[in-house]
Formats: sequence, structure tokens, C-alpha cells
Amino acid sequence: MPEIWLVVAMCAVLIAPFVKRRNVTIPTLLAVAGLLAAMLFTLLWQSSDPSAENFRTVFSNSLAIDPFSQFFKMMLFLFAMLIVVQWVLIGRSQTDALDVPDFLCLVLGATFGMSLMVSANNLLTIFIAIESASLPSFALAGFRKHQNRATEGSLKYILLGAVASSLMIYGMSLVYGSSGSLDLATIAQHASSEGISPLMGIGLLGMFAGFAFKLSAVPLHFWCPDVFEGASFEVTTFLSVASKAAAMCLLVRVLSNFAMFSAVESITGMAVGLGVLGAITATWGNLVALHQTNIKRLLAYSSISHAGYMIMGASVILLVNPTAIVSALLFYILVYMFMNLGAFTVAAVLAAQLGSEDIRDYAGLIKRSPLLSILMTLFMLSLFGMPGLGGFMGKLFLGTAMIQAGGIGALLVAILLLNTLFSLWYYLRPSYFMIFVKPNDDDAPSTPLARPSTATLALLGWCVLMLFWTGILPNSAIQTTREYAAIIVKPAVRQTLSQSTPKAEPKIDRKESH
Amino acid sequence: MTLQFARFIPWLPIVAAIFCALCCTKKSWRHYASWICLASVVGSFILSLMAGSIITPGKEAQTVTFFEWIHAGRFQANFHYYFDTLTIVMLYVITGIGSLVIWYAGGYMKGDRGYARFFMAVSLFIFSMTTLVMADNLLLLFLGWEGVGLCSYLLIGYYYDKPSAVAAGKKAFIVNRIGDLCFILGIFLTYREFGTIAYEPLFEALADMEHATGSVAAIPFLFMLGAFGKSAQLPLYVWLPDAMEGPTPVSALIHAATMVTAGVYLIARMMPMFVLSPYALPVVATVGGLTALFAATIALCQYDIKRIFAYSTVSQLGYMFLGLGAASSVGAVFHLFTHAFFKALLFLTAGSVMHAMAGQLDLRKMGGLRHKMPVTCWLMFAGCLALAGVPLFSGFYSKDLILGDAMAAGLNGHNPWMTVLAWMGLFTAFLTAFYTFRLWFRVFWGPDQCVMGDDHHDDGGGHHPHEPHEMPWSMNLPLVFLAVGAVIGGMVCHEWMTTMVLSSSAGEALSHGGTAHHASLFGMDVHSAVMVLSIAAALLGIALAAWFHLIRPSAADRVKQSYAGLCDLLENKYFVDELYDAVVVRPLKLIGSVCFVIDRLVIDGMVSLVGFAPRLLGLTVRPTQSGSLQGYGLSMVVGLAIMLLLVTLMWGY
Repeated sequence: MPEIWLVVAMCAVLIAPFVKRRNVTIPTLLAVAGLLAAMLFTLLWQSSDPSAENFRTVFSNSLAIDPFSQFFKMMLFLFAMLIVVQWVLIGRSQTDALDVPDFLCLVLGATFGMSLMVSANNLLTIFIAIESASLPSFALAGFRKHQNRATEGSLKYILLGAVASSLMIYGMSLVYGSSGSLDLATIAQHASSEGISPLMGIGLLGMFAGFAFKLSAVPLHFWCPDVFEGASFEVTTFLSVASKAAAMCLLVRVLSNFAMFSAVESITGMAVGLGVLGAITATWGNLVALHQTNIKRLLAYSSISHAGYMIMGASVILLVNPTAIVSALLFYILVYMFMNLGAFTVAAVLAAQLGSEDIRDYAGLIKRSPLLSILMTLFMLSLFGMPGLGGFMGKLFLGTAMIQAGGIGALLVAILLLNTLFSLWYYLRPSYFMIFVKPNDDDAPSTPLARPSTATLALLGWCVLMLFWTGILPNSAIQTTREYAAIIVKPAVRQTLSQSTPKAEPKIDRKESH
Repeated sequence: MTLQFARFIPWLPIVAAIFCALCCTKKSWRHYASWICLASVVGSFILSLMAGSIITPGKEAQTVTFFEWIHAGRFQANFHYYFDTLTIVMLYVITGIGSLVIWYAGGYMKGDRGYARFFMAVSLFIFSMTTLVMADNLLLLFLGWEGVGLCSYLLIGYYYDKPSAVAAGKKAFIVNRIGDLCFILGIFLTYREFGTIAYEPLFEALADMEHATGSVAAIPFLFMLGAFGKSAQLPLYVWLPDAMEGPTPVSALIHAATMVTAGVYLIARMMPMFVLSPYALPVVATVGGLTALFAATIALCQYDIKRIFAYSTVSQLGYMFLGLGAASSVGAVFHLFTHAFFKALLFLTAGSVMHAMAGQLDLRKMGGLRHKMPVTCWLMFAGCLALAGVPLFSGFYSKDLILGDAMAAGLNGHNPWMTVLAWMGLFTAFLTAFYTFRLWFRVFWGPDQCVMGDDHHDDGGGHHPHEPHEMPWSMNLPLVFLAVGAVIGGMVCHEWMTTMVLSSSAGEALSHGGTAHHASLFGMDVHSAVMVLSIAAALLGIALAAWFHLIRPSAADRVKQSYAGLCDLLENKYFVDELYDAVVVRPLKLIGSVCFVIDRLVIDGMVSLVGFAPRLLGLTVRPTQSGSLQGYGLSMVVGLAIMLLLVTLMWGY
């Protein structure tokens, strides 16, 4: 279990101040070491090549350890590490030294929860994982406790989160009540043999509402812009990518189970419902984003619409062979991670120098800092889906996987394209101000901005490199995700085969594990 | 020994192009560019010779795999190279003549600002041209085809501060678009009909066909238009004379010896497809024959040396198409080969004259240059003899073969039109000899006269800028090689060329009955008769030129006065440019203006609407994000309630 290392690191980070007070370096290094160890462990624990035999579960079938989760965890730990780096580069100076260990501990804790989310294989672990990811996130959102907006956002996040959690646990109880099991595979089997009863339908709806909250799907998205606006850039970046991606993977696992065990007829409705939810989310996010002037809120709505795209993709899992769509989603998350990280980092650098998060204050930036302007434009273009950049390939793979689902898929692709078209307007708005708008001559200084530190530039450069790599030569990346995505399906097939002998109890794999 | 090394033939020049581009960056590196370029092309030439030692007549064509280029569904186009004897011949011409011209250009371009840029473009050209002839499928051929077009554009517009050069570059590019569009349509059609665009499966499929039917019959015509554009045939020839705005070595290499023959190569390569259609080859022959005559008449009255040679090139290319159309692919490729030598020689010597006269190209402003430039004089003489078709010189053999085959085809097949074309070709031979020697006599003989141009080049030679001077041997030596080729190339290579071409795809498709000549002309075998006639035509032309321009210049003036209208027409090139301007250019510009207005009003309006409508929609949903927690909670619950309703409705409750 690589998560153990995160717990160890959390403890170590908290103990560090007792050894050396007000030191910020040691806890940072400890946190990075913990994440590195977790990464290394993820890599080593399943060192053999990804194959169907690699699917195993621990703790009475409650946590799945498969290459799919392994791949996601690698990305997650890497991303958490990049967040720490981003924070060291930009946000640490604004944090009180005494608060540093707390911050790191919360990041590690949230990462721990997200890491569990992708492995969670029954209702109970799903709930625990989501809660253990959510609670640190609430605290992170309000971490800048002297700022009203941060506390406001955090409070909204907690209260709305509580509503969503209660809905989810209520839905889970209904699902348990109607199927008699907490195990996802058993529930799915039950759904296929007995059909989805209304009670179970309502239960599933409640459960998905919990996921949708984490994904910020409409109508559970309200927390997202307010929280993002209030929180610091690191936290915003972290929440916009990691939390949503983890929820996405959880959704993928639940849906894959249903896809494998249930007859197609009974779940088409579920697929359509999810597809509609995704379409509404994407469209809603884009439409509202058109009027945003705060870069954080703009990117918040952008993240809502991207979550919508991913939900649209995930809904198709129920209808076609999931491998293509799951690999496309993993690829999408990979790309999304780098483009969001890049966009938020540039915005953070600009906010630190301009003292403003308003994109209207970006006017004339191309003269003052051509590099940052170009970088911002690149990231925005990738988020939009400009060919040649990773975002395009993400959408392309998602679209080609979706279109296999026939009419529904084609409709979803059309919605995706239409949304992409609309989104160009707001993605290019910061660049429009940077390049074409002249600053008001009296109040805006025209001095060049200070050059960002080399480390920041290296981080941004890496993001750009990744976007070009995935945008121009996506083959190796998509091949890898395809290999890892294949696993989530194959063992399920194996279980279906063994299920042909009447055996109601789910197969429990009691392999010894750490 | 396998042919694997041959894949480097195009890649040496492109590496050289990269290095030449690097040389552009620093002034002190500039002069290395010519050596880099020359070394790479000589290297390619050596590789071509090695390849030629493997691919000999009678051997199967070989494919050298390089890498898989495009795979999309069933469509496949690879970066593989196809070697048969025709490829080898073309490679010899491109890299051989190319090396000599680049050698010459190293001296000719000295002191020019864009020295390295020039050689970069030339290297790129050699890459494209070798790719064109080595391609194993039509798409790769098209890549090279467009590549040479691009290099041609870059090099015509090489003096980009000269408006006429820029205009000429644009003209060449745009006129070629028409042909290229047809060509690529032909490729599409080929793929649709045959499911492949690679030569080998294509030739196999063609071998099984008796007659071209349906759209297969249209393919040769589309290819033909592409070839007419690239090889400057009627009605798309107008760009080539203007292309002389480029530096003279470019005119010699690209616009005389190699690129413009790409069309001939294309038709020769696709001969299996052309023979299937009963109308394709006659059309090629007709266009070729008419172009030959038409261009030769224009050349009669021009005063610009390079333009005369340009029209001569158009005319000679017309011969090649006449040869192809008369099913004499040997003649066509042979003429391509010999023409490359003597026309490159003529252009380069013309370049020497231009160089010596500081950019002066007007025949009326020079004379008696043989005293000042003896070597150039006699080198050009050799070229002129070859072009005029004087016996024993290279041009004679190839031109005679084409005319003989055309005449034989006409008489044997009882095809009067082909016979007429052959007679036209003979008349053109007379005109050719006349305008060639008109030029030579006027430049090098007659009274001494030289009005220098205003193009003061500085090659550090320290010569007096107002006095014509002989070229240094570093520039004359490559010309000597070309002259040797121009003189003996026909004699020496006749047999070799016949076997080479006949064993390629160009020859196999033709059941050319070389032995079954029943027809006769004037009681002689057709070929002998045509030979006698063409010798007579050449000598008559030379004699007439000598009379008008050497012995009795006053007679020329009198003739000119009495036929002033005709001369005016010819001097103005039949007003074709003006005609095109009125018929094509102006209407297109008008359409362009209309489109511009539509774009402004309609398209831009629609784009604005696309941007505006979502923003309006956004305004309507935006108030939901009011910031009040109660509102959020309510919306969430209401949203979920709606979903719950839908879920329950699904079960029919």
C-alpha cells in the first residue's frame, strides 16, 4: 500500500516542528520524500508488466490494486509533488512558517484520500475515501484564514459538501438495502440478475450525486468557483485537477463494474442520464465562463466544463468496450493535469506581480512580459483544444472513443465540439487583453515584469514540453494508458466466467499484502 | 550488393541544405555554402552511378524501403524508393548536370548577398527532384513535384528586391497550381479506381486492363494537365519565360535541364496508363507539336538572350511531348537527356555573357564578343550546333529519333494528323536552327559593340567594370564538360539510352514496332528520309541566319520592315499574357473583391453571432451563481429532485 508512506510522511511533517521550530525546509523535504516513496512503492509493488493477472484486491475485496489505479496514483503523486513545488516557488513566502507543516499535512492527507478513492472497491471504502479526501480539502480551501473570501469559500464548501455526503451515504444505504452487498461487483451482478429496482435507482442517484459534487457537475457545482476564488493558487490547482480526477476514476470503476456485469438494456438509461449530466455540465460551465473576468473563476468554470467532457466520456463506458474510453480518460487527465498546472502557475506569477487576478489588468502584458503572455496563451489554447497541443489530442481520443457508442455517442461528440467552439471565446480573452488591449495610460505602469525564477520557468517549460509531446507525438502516451486501462476490465471478465457456476458470494482474494 | 545505399541520394542534399542554412547565419561562413552543396550533389551523383551499376537493362525494378509514411485505413503511402532504368537515367541527369551547374554557380554567384541562401535552395531542389524521380508512389512523387515547385518559386524570386522577379515567382507558382490541382485530382482518382497509388501494384493492375473505361480514362488527362503545367506546354507555358528573372544557373538547372522535364518523366513513368486510353497520347502529341512550333516562332523575334533560350526550352519540351505522344518514349527521354546538356550549356554561356556585360542581355546592344570571350564563344557554338540539330551533335540524334518515330507512326498508322505534326516538327527544326544562330551571330560576330548593363557585380577580380571579360577557368571548366556531353552525348549514348528506356515501365508498355516499318517517304525508309529532311532544315536555318545576321544585316531589317505586323506580334509573344490578363486575371480579381465583401458582411457577421449567442445565454444562467449559500443548497436539491423525478419516470411510476 503506497498510501502508508503518505501517512508516515504526514506524521513526520507534523513532528518536524518539534525538532526544529519555524523551519520550512525540513517539512517540505519530508513531504516530497513521502510522495516520492509512495510513487516508488506504487511502481515497485506492481513491478511486473501490466496484465490481467495483476488485478488483486485487499482488505476483504474492499480495495482494488490494479494497474488502472496504479497508473492514476503515479499521476496523482507526481501531481501532488508538483503542487508542493509550485507552492514552494510561489505561495510559501506568503505562508506563516508555523503553518507550513499544517499545509503540507493537509495536502498529503487529501492526496491520501484521493489515492484511496481510485482503489475503493466497495461502498464503505468509497465513502471513507471520499470523506478523507474532502475533509483536508475543506481545510485547504480556507487555509488563508485571514481572508474573508477564503473562509467564505471554505464554509460553503463544507456545508454543501455535507449535503452531498449525506445524500451519498443515504443513497449507498438504499443500494445496500436493495442489493444486500457493499461490494461493487456483487451490486452490479445483482443489478443484472434482478434488474435495477426503483429503490436501487434512487440509491444510485444519491450515490452519483456524491461523486458529482466532487466532480463539480451541474447542479452540484456551485461550490467550485467560490472556493477556487477564495483559495490560494496552489490549492485551486490541486483541487481543480486532483480532486476531480480522483472522483472521475472512482466513477469509472463503478461504471466499469456495471458495464461488465449488467445486461445492456438495464443500464442504457444510466448511460443516457450520465451523458446528459455531462453535457449539461460542460455547456453550463462554458456559458458562465464567458462572462468571468477573474482568472481563477474563469479557470474554475473551465474545470467544470472539462469535468463535463469527462463525464460525457465516462457515460459511454456502459455501452461499449471500456478500454478505449478508459484509456482516453486517463490520457485526458494526464494532459489536463499539465495544462491546468501551467495556466494556474502563470496566473499565480502574474497575480503576485500585478497584485490582481482580474484579466482586464493583463492589458498590455505582451510588452511587459512576452514570455508569460505566450505561455498563458499556449496553456489556454491547449485547454481549448488547439491541434498540436495535448488538449486537442485528449479531446480527439475522447471523441473517437465516444463515437463508437453509436447515436448517443455521436450526439455527445457534437455537444463536445459545440462546447469547444464556445469555449474559444473565453480561453482567448486573457490573451486578447495581453496582446491587443492597450493599458489605460495613467494608472498602469509599463515597466517590464520581473523575470520569473528559473525554477518556475523550468516547471512551466516542462508543462509546455508535455503538452507539445502529447499533442504531436501522443502515441507512446496513449499506448501506455491503453495498456493500463485494459486491466480494469479483464479481471471482471474472468469473474463473469467463474460466475457461470452458481456462486453468489463474490470471489474474495485474500492475498497477503502490506 | 543491395541498393540500400541509394536511399541516401536525396538525403545528402537535404543535409547540405541544412548546413547551407546555417551558413546563412554568419557572413564569414557564407562562402562554404557552395562547397557543401557541391560535395553533397557530387556524392549523390556517385551513389547514382553505383545504383546504375546494379540496375542495368533487363533487371527487375527494385524497391528500396525507407520508412512507412502515411497509413490511414486502407490508404498507404510509403517513403520508399523505386528504381528502374528510367529512374537511373533521370538521376544521372539531375545529379550529373546538377553538379556541373553548381560548380559553375559557385563562381557565378560570388559576392552576392544571398550566396548561402541560393545554395540552400539549390540543395533543397536536388532533394525534391531526386525524390520526385525515385518515388515509389504517386503521393511521394507529388511531394517532390511540389518541392521542386517551391524551390523554383524561391529561386525565381531570389532577387526579392526586384519587383519583376517577385512577380515572376508568383506567376510561376500560380500557373503551376492549375496543373498541380489536376495532377492531385488524378492521384485521387487513381486511388479510387485502383485502391493503390504505389507503382508496382498499379502497373500490375494496368497490365490486366485492355482498355481504359469510365473514370480510368480520365486519369491520363488529369496527369497530362499536371505535366503541361510543370513542363510549360500550351496553354500553361507562360510562366517559364518570366522565370528567367532568377539567377542564370537556376535557369540552366531548374528551368531548362531538370524541373521542367518532370512532366516528361511523369508521362513516361505513367505510360502504362496512357496507352490504355486511345485519345490520351494523340492529345499529348498535338499539344507537344503545337507548343514546339508556337514557342519557336516567338523565339525568332526576341532580343533578350535568356528569353530566347526560354522559348527554345518550351519548344524543345514540346518535342519531348511530341515524342511521348508518338509512342516514342525512347526519343522523348533521349531528347530530355541531350537537351539537359546543351541547354544547360547554352544558359550558362549566356550567363557568362550576362556576367561579363554586367547584366546586359539585349541582343541589340552587343556584338563581336568573340574577341573578348573566345572560350565562351566556342562553348556556346557547340551548344548551338547541338540545339540546331546539326549531324553528329547530340541534339540531332534525339530530335531525329522523335521526328522519325512521329512520321513513322503517322504513315504506318495512316494517321494523317500525326504526319502533319511530324512535318510541323521538321519546320520547327528549321526555325530552331535559325533563331539559335541568329543569337550566336549577333552576340559573338558582327561589329564590335557593347553597351554594359548597370548590374555592377563585385567579384573581387579587379577587372575594369566597363569591359567584357572572359570567365575564369573555374567557371569555364564545368562548361567544357557540358560541351563534351552536348557534342558526343547523342552519338555515344544512343544505344545505351534505347535499352535503358525500353526496359523501364516507359518502354514495356509500348509495343513499339521498330522493325515493322512498311511506310516510306520519298522512296526511302521513313527514318532515313526524316533524317535527310532534318539535316536540310538545320543547315537551311543556319544558312539563313548567317545571311541575315552576319553577311547582310540590312536584309534582315528590310524583311522586318516589310513584315512589321508579324514581327510585332511575335515580339509581343502573340499577346498571350495580355489575353490571360483580360480573360483570367481580371475576372478572378473581380470575384475576389466580391468574396471579400461577402466575407466582411456575411461570414464575419456569422462569426460574431457565434460569439454573441452563447454570451447572451451565459447571461441568463449566470444569476444562479449568486453567492448565497441557501440559493446554492436549494438549487442542488431542486436539481436532484428533477433527476429523481426523471429516474422514477423511467420506471413508469
